[in-house]
Amino acid sequence: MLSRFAILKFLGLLLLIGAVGLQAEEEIRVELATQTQLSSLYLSNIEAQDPFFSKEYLKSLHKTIYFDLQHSGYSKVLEKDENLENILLQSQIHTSFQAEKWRKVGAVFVLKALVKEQKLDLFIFNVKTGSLKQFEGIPLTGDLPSDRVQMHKLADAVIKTIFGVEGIAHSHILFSVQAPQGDAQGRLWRSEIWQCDWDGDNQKQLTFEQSYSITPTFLSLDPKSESEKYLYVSYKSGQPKIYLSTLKSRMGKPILELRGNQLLPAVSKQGNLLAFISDAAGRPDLFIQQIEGNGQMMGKPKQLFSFPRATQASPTFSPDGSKIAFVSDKDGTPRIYILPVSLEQNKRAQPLLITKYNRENTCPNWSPDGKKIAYSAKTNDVRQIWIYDLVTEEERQLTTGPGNKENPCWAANSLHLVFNSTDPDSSELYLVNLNQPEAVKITQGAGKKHYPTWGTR
Amino acid sequence: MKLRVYTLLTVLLLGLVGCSHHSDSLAGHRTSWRHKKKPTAKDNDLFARRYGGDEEFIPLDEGDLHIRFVDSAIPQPKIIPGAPGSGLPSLDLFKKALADLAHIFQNVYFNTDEYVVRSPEYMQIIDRIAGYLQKHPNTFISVNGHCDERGSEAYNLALGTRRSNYIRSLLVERGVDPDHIHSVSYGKEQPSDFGHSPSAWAHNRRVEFKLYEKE
Repeated sequence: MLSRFAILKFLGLLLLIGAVGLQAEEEIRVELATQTQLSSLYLSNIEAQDPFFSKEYLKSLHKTIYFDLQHSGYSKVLEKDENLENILLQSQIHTSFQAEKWRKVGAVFVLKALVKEQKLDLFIFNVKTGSLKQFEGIPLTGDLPSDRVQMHKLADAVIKTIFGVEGIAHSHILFSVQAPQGDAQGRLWRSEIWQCDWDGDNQKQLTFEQSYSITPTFLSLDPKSESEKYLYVSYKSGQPKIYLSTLKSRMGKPILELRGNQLLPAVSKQGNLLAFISDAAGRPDLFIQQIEGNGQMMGKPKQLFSFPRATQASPTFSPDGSKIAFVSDKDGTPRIYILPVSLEQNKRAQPLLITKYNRENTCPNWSPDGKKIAYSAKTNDVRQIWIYDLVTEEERQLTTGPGNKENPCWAANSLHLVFNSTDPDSSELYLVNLNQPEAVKITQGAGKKHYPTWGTR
Repeated sequence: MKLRVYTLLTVLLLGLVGCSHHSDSLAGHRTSWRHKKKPTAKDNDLFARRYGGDEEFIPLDEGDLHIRFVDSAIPQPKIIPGAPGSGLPSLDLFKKALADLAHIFQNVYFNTDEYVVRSPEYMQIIDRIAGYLQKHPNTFISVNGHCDERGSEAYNLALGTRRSNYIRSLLVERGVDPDHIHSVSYGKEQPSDFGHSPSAWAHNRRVEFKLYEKE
């Protein structure tokens, strides 16, 4: 018979393991690092000195630059005040700037915009120093999409001037839009790749394949690159394969002659390596492929990581391309691991587990500064965006609230993230930055928007 | 005796841990420990197939698996349907079984968190499909794996291959030519039931079959 001591020992072990399990299930609340002081800006209406543009048109342009400055992560825009508007309208701001009035309302910078002869001038006053900076003669065409681009460029120039950092307002986002469900003929199964500005405006359909296209990613994230190529997955051959297209093409071309399903492509910042998931060998494995400068594939893809009865998913490169973070359930539940990229070695490497708090961790995305990995983790039954800090090795929760938030993607400044939040009735794109944790919805309307990816321009 | 009691308690413990998951994103992980086996001659033959040929990819050296455990990973057919010279149309031209074959090529459904087939009813479906394919060597099929809406969408894209490849491996084990079976993962992108109830989820955790008859 089993001794009483042995049974007690086993029950003790059982309780210990149970306690560990319960700890893993506990709610984890992480305070955000929101101590950063945002500079208060006052942004005037865009006043016209001739009737060429309608007031409504100028309001649209104002809305664009307002969004850019309000969500820059460095500034917040003060509420509009009619008295202050009148002061700006009536005075020659550069000759009679009344710093004390602006100091009282808490403005650190005052921005006054004027349009005359289809050109926009923007004056920036530093309330503290009284110094003036001008952006003059910005051409406007009357074509809203292209003038919005001008506003985004202007906002980036303002951010650069005031804060000395590169803005991201002039970047754009690619994403997938699944056709609305439930048409009269039955369920549609269509998804195309779309593009929008970072504020969700200027939406444009890129693929016209009448198929199911998802998970776009730019081929190169190098801001100096002139390439506007991107990769995505399409089911147009009946099996998901990776295709290459450009922002001006309507259809993509397959890039790999590889059997099986090809999923979840990711490209290194240098644009010389492609990682993806394939079941060519019978399991969902992590593969890597070298890419030539012209976007052509070089040599054969290499099976980088595989594990029996495990699913690998969602690779993302470190900025120097030397490591890949990816999802695997090899140890039971989906968690995020880091693996060195080796093109020569074909022994199974031992990946490093990084996400330990939550049981389900998916869709990692490595920040361009190399210091953080954003991912989605199931938190109290809702998928939230979390951040793993590679310096402190800590995990912290970024988002809260309802809606399953997935597929986070960093902007080039490593400060902003775009992700999709899904509830039973919709899936829309949201922006959030580490200094302003309130997420902003940037899309709306019919169709499921998901799998966003951030470009450089 | 002592060993049996420990084993029983361990099984109970693992069962409890396994029951704490409620997401389709975890399909199959609970089952992995139950199917450990030493590699058989058939497994070794499959590995030889994997490494012996002129592969279009550079495979990982899986020699270390022999001291761990193996699964039933069977390489995908080298022929890419729809590619020039493949002799097969693209998989989107494979069709659902017509009325006279619909009773054979029925959907297989899965429990939450699982990718293996447990019900004898579904094993009979696999047996019937295997029998049909062996008698009809010109028939090619696609095995399409789907998940329910509760898992992560990106992760489920990869996970869908687990269900389809598992069913594929069962068919190959029953003597079907592996080059006649292609698998497709749809993740949770193509639900058959757009509801948000346990019943809808059960309908969506499935593998469907499509056919092509080569002339």
